[in-house]
Amino acid sequence: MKFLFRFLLILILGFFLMKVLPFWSAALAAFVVGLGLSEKRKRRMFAKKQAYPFSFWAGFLAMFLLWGGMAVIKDQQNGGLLSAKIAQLITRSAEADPSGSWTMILAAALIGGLLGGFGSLSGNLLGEAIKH
Amino acid sequence: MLVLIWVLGRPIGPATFATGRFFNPFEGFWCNAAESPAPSGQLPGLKEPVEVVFDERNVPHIFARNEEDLTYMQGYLTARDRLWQMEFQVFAAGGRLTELVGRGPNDAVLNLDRQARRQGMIMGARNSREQVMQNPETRSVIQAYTRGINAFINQLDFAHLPLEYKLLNYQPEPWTELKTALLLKYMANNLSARADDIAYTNALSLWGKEVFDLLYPERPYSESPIIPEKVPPRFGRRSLNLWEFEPEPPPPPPANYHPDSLLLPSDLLNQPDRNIGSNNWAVSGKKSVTGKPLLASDPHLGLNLPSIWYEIQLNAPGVNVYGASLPGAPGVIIGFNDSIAWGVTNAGRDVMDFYRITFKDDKREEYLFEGRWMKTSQEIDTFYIKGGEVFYDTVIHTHIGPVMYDRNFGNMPVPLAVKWMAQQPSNEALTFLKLNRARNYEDYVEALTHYQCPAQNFVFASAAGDIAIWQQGKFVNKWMQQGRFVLDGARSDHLWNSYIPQAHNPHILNPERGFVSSANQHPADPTYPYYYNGSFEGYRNRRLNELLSRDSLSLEDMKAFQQDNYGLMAADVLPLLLSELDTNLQGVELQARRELEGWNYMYDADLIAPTIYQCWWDSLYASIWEDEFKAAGLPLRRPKLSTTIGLLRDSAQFRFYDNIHTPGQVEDRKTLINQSFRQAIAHLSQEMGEPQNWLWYVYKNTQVVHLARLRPFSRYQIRIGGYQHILNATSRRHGPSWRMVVALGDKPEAYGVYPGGQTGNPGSKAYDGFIDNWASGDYFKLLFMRSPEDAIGQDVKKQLFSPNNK
Repeated sequence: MKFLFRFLLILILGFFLMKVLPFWSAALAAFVVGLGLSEKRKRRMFAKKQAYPFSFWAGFLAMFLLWGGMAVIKDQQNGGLLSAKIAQLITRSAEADPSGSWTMILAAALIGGLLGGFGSLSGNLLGEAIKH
Repeated sequence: MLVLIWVLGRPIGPATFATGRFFNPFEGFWCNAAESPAPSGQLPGLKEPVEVVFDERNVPHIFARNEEDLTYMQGYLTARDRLWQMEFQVFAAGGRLTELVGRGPNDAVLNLDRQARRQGMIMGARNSREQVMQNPETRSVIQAYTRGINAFINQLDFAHLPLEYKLLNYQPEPWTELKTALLLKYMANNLSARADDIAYTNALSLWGKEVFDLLYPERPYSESPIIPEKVPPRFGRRSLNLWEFEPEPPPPPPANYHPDSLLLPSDLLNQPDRNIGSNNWAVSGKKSVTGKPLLASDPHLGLNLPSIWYEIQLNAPGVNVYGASLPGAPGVIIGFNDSIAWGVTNAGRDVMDFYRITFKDDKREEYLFEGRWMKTSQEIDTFYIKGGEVFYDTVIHTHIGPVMYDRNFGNMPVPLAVKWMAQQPSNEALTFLKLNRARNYEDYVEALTHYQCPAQNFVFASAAGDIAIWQQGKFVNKWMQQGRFVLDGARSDHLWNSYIPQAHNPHILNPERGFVSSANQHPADPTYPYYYNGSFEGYRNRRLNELLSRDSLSLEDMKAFQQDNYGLMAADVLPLLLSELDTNLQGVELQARRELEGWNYMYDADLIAPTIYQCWWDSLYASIWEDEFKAAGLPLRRPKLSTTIGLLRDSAQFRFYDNIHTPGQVEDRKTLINQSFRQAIAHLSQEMGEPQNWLWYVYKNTQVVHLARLRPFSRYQIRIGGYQHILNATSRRHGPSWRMVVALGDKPEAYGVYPGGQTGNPGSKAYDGFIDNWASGDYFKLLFMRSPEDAIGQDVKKQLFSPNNK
C-alpha cells in the first residue's frame, strides 16, 4: 500500500509539474515526494537496505509509465510515423523500420524512469540525512 | 540525480539535441507528431477580422479586408507551416549555416558560407532592402509580412517548435525585412550566379582560340529561340534592323582587346547546378479548344523537402490571386487571378563577371585602376561556428565589387573581384505585388519594368485574349564577348558602363503562330541587336515548339506536354551511335542493342532502353572529354551535350577522341562508341543484374531530399520518367518543382501539383503527401474562390482571426 501511495503521488505530481516545467521536473516531482515521505532511519540494518530500492522503484515505475504512456498517446496521432523516422535518424539506417517506434517509446520511458527513480531516491536520502 | 539531469540536459553532439528535452513526451519531438496546432483566433497587429478557408489539401485561402492584413496573414500562416525552412534558406543565403551545423567535413559548410558572403549576398540584400523600404507600397507589404511571421514566432513554446529546431538544438530568430531580401537573393543565387569566366579563361589559355570556339560555340547547332526567328527581307539592305525598336549602339570594344592568358587553378568553384531550368508557354484562343488562352508553367528547381513552393490564395479588395508562393517572400510568384495568368522560366544570361585585380603590394590596400592607385576597403566577416571557435574572414572591397577569390579563398593566384547584377539595389517584390493585381497586358508590362535579377522569361495570358512573353531583367550593354572571360579590373572600358534599355528586352505579344513559349533557350536569333552570353538549353525548346504547333489544344494537352518524356537528344544522336556499333554482338550486349533499336526515345519510368542509352551516352561523353579535362587540373567547363553531339556528327576523327592515357594508340569515334557501349553494359550488369531489372526510374533514382540532408525525412527512387533536356525535366535531384496549367475565361480553371506538401513538418503525413500524385502525373484542381462562401459543399475548414490590440 505504501508503495502504491508513493507511486501514485509521484505520478500525479509529475504529470502536473511536467505540463509546465522542462524534463527535469520528472526528477523534481519524485524528489519532492521522496523527501516528503522519507522515514526516519530504522535501527535494523536490513530495513535500510530495503528502503532504497523501495523508493527508487516507486519513482522509476511512476515516471516510466508517465513518459511511456504519454509517448504512446502522442505517437498514436500519426500512427508512429515520426517516431520511426527519429529511430532511423538515430540509428542511421538506410530504411525506416516501424518497430523503431517502440524503441523510441521504450527509450523515452527509460529516461523518464531513471529521472524518477534517482529523483525519488535522492529525496529519500536527503530526507533521512535531515531527520537523522 | 543532478549528474543524470546534467547528462540529459547536454547536447550529445555539436549540432544535436539534448536527450532529456528531446525525448520528453510533454514537449520533445513527440509533440511534433500532432498535426499543426490550431491557429489562435486572436492576433496582435491585425487591423480587421480575417477569414481563412483551408481546403482539403490545407491550402489557405485568405480573405482580408485590407492589404496589410492580407500580407500579415500570409506571413503568419506560411510561418506556421514552414518556419524552419524559411529561416534555414535565409541562413544559407547569408552565409550562416556554420552557426547551425558547424564547419562540415573538409570545411565544406564553412566554404559555402564564405562564398555566399564574398559573392556579396548580404551586400545585395541590404541594397535591395533599402529599395523596398523606399517604395511606400512594398514597404507596407514587407513590414506586414514580417509582423505576421513574428506574431507566429512569438507564440511558440518549445513544445510547438518545428522539429528541426529540436533536432539541431537552436531557436528561431525574429524575422526581419532583410531576411525577405536575402530570400530573394537566395533565388537570384540559384538562378543567376553562373559564370564561366574562370573556366573559359582556363580553356582558352590551355587550347587556344580555334579549339575554344569549337568546344564552346555561342549558339547551338539547332535552335528555336523564344522570339521566333526574324526572316530577313529578300530585298534591300541585309543590315536592316528587324526589331521594332531603335537599338542603342554597342559600346566600342576596347582597343587591342585580348582575353587574359591566365591559368586559374582553384579547388573551390561551387556553382548552382545547370539542371535548373523551366518550361512555360501560353496558347492563344485561336488554337485552344476553349477559345480563350491557356497557360502552363513548370519551374525545374532542386527537389527538396520542405518544398520551395507554398500554395496560397490571397483575397482582399483589389486583389484575388492564387498560385505558388516562396516561403519568406510576400505575394504569389507563379499564378493567376480573375483576369490574367503568368509563369516564369530562367533567362540564363550571364550577369556575373570576374575582374582581375592588381594590388600595389602585399598589404592589398591599393589597386590599379586607369593608371592610378585606388584605395581598397577591408571588411572582416565573422562566422560563428557551432561547436567550434569563431572564424574571421577578411574580404577586400573594390569599386568594382568584393574580391571573391584570392590567396585566402580558393587558392587563387590572381585576386578576382566579382560584379553581379544581384548586388545592385532592386525591388523585385514590387513586380510580384503588381503582377498579382494585374488586369491586362499593360499592367503586366508595367509590373515587369521594376524587375532586375534573376532575369526571367515572364509568360503571360489574359482572359481578354492576349498572350505574351518578355525576357525581363537588367542587362549590361556589352561589347562582343565582354564577360565571357576574366576581365581586367584596371581598365574602365571593361566595366559595366551602360545597360540595355528595358523596352529593348526580347518580347512578343500575340505572335502569328498562336503561342509563346520558353524553355531556357536563346532569347532571340542572331539578328537581336545586343550582344549577350550565358548558358542556354538546346533541346526542350525544339520539342516544345513542335508540340505547340498543333491545333485544338486543351488543358489536358498542356498537362501531357509538361509530362512529355520524349528524348530529342537521344533521337538526335542514337542513330549515329547504333550505326557505328559492331554488328557481331552477343548475349546481353546483343539484347541491349535490340532494345535500343526498338526504342521510341521515350524516357518512361518502367522502360530499360533509356537506362541503356543514358549509361552508354554518359560513358561515351566521359571518354571523349574526361581524360584531357581531368589531366588539366583546373576548373574547366565540360562542353555542352549539344556541342558534343555536333562534333560527333561532324567528325570521325578529332583530337579529343584520343585517350591521352593510351600512348601509341589513337582512338577515333568508332573506337570510343564501341568501348563505351561495352563499358556501359558491363556496368549495368554489375550494378543492376539482369537486363529486365534495368528500369529507368531505378537507375535514375529521382529523389526529394530534406534541406538538411536528413535521410529519414527524404524520399528516394521515386517512380517517375523524364530527364534532363526533356520537357518532363525530372533528373536525379532536380525537376518540375511546381506544375501549373490554367485555362483563362470568365472564371479561371486551373490545375497544379508540386512534389511536397503544404506542411513542412516531417512528423505529418501531409509532409510529402503530394509526391506520389506528382510522380504519377496527377494534378489537383485548384480551388479558386471569390468569397469564403464559395467553399460550400467542399471539404474545408474555416478559421476566423480577429485583432487583439491589447
